[in-house]
Amino acid sequence: MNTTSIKLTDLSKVYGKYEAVKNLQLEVPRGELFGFLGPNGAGKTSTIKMMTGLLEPTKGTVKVAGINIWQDPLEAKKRIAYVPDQPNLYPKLTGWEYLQFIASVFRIPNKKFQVKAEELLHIFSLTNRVDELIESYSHGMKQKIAICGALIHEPDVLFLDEPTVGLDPNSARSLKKLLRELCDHGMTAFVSTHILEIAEQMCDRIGIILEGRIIALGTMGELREHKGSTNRSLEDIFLELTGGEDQQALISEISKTDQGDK
Amino acid sequence: MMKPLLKNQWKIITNTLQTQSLKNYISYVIAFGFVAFFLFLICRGIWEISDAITQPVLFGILSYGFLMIIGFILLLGLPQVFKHLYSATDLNLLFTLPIPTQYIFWMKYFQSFIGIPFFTFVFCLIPLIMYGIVVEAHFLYYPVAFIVLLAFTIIGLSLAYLFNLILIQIIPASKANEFMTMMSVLSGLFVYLLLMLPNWMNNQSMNELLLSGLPLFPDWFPVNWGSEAIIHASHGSIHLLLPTLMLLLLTVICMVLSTSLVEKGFRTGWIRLNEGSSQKKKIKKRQTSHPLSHPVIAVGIKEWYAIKRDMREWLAFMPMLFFMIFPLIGFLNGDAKLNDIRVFNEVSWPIAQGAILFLHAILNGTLAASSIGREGSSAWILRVLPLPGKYIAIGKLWISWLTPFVLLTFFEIIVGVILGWTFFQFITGIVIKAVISIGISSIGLWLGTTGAKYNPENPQARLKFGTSIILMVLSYVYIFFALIPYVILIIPAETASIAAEVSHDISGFFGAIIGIVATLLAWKASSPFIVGILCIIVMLIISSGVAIIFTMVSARRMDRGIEIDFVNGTKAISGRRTPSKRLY
Repeated sequence: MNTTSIKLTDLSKVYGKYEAVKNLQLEVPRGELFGFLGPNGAGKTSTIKMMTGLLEPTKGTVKVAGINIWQDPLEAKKRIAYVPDQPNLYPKLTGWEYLQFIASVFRIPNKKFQVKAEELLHIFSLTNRVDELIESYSHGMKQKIAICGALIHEPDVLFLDEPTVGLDPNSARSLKKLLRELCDHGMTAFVSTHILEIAEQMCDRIGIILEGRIIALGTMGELREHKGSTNRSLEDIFLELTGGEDQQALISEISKTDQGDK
Repeated sequence: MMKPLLKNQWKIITNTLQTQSLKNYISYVIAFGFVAFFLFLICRGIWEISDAITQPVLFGILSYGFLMIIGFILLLGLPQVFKHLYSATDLNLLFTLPIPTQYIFWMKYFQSFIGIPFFTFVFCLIPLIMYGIVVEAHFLYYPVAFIVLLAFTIIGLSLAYLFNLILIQIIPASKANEFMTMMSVLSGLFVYLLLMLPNWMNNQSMNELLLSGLPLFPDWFPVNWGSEAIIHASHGSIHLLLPTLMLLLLTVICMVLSTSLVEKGFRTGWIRLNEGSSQKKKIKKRQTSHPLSHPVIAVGIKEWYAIKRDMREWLAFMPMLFFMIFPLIGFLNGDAKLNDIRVFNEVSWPIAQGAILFLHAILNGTLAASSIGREGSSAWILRVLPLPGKYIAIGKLWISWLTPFVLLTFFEIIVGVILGWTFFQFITGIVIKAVISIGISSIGLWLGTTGAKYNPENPQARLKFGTSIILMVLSYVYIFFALIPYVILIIPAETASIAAEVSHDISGFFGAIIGIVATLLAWKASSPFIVGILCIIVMLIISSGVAIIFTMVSARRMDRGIEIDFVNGTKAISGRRTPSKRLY
């Protein structure tokens, strides 16, 4: 049985002369909740898009559930789901119709769909709003219905780009709990996020990307060990690795100067 | 406060102009050249005939011209003003700054003036100056012409503002964006009615009145004031003062009226639009037992909901209104007796078939082509789902074919009942058009995959200009060839001799085609059954062949990935695009 859910080999993406992603090598085992971190423009979204078949890699391969997504896209897509950071859904469908559409594409039996949809809608408190057009939803609600759509066919691998942006605290907590539960039952989740607290709390392993390269990879414990201190938070490690510490020092200086002026 | 606002606006305009692509610069030069050439033709015409124009005729031309200026600004300016007042992206920032609403309003007013109204002003001023030079008008003619023209331009723009400010208070906020598209259509009808005014105010036709120098409008009609002022000014007469002053007064009243609604119509209207409706758009309660469909059907249903629930999508069916419903109403109101026409159903039927096929050519292709650009920013969904291109292509094809087919068939049945067609005529017409029109839809779908465009502010424009032209040409070329067996089928064999005569009179390609038709009709006369069957087979081969080929090519393109051009619609002046987004 193949235990590797995601395998990236020499994955690169070049836009003109700009190299957004540089020779990424990464393996994510089945059932892992993987956190993908990096500052703005580091190459997170490009990497996720290449893994979901939205962006063709310049070089390298992406295997999802053992299938090369660029060689056998339909088979690979049957096993994955993706929730983008900007959930642009069909505005003229209701939430329920959107879920029906996704379920039709995945050929889910009608009965199973009804049960699963109701369950997901309940978790994300959407049951009362599911008959409204998506165009009337807030950003958070769109995000939630997109997550419901992604989970309706019980994918083997779930890709989430900034999933908690726009979610209210209750829904964010429900999502975290649900993801943990699903991963414990064998689903693999690849989550890109800016919220380091979430990554620290819920991810099994964390990868930090900077200027298209993975500069750190491991569990929280491994990352702390690597940096030589068991007390350091993910935020400290992240800032140190991505050069944010200098900016922090500058902000402190400015704030001191301001206080001195007063 | 006004100065920084205008300065900022000026910088936006100059920066936009400076950062245009070479392609846009070239298109500006071509457009400018085209306008200049058109102006040259007008000026040349004035040079030739201005001596022959009598004063009463000039009076009529000027009055009608001023009415046209107002109509033109209203027609093109209404949607533009709506964008400036309610959907401009800078309003979010401007309303949070300590700037009085009146100032923002006036800045927007100037911004709107620089577009269509200014162009109209310059376009009309040049011929007026030309006329002044040719007839050696008094020097007062030039400033008065300038003032009068400017006054009518401002009146037109103020009316556009006034309509927007009033309408925003009437229409529901949730429907405002869609209503705007509808309003463009309504403004078209309004302007049409406006320009028809002379015909309704008088017993004679407008052309007769104009050429005989009779007044088109009553004296009190404001457009007459402008004409009076200009004519008096051309002689240097002091009588120019009263009409000029009255016109200026009217201009000021129009401006004051529109500004009086600023607080309620502009700021509050913008807030209402951005808040959206408090009423949620609830669709009928879902049926829990509703079964899931096959992916091809699901894609089609998704498209249908997008069409059904967006008023703007129905604009595609406007040609139906103009080409069929209006003429039908006119016909029913006319003097012709229905019973007389019902006798000639062998004539009325083929004519109606031609007209309906013409509509199919417009509607089917456009609707199918639009289905690609319609994905817009939701394009990622189909790309991520395990849907082969052929499922998407067929899914989009069936619904873009079925929608116009159902509508036109419904209409055809009404027409057929009125005109007394036989049952056989009904069935033949409907079946054959169903077969032919699917080919047009497939051509449209394929062209949609090659030139899809999406503009968030103008979602109904979903095809690049060049592609839409190709679509039009290809649809007619296809219909032309698919129609040959259809024509043989529906035209009585007795017309063979007439066709033969016509083919002798016409040379070249069309002569050859009519010649072939004449020969086939002659065969039909001798063995109608065999020729009939053959015609049906050939028609089936052409239409299903075209449908299969173009759908499969579209599917392959979808599998490879399609690019939709995302047009950044935030600035009216530029056509700058964000990078294309890939679909499927």
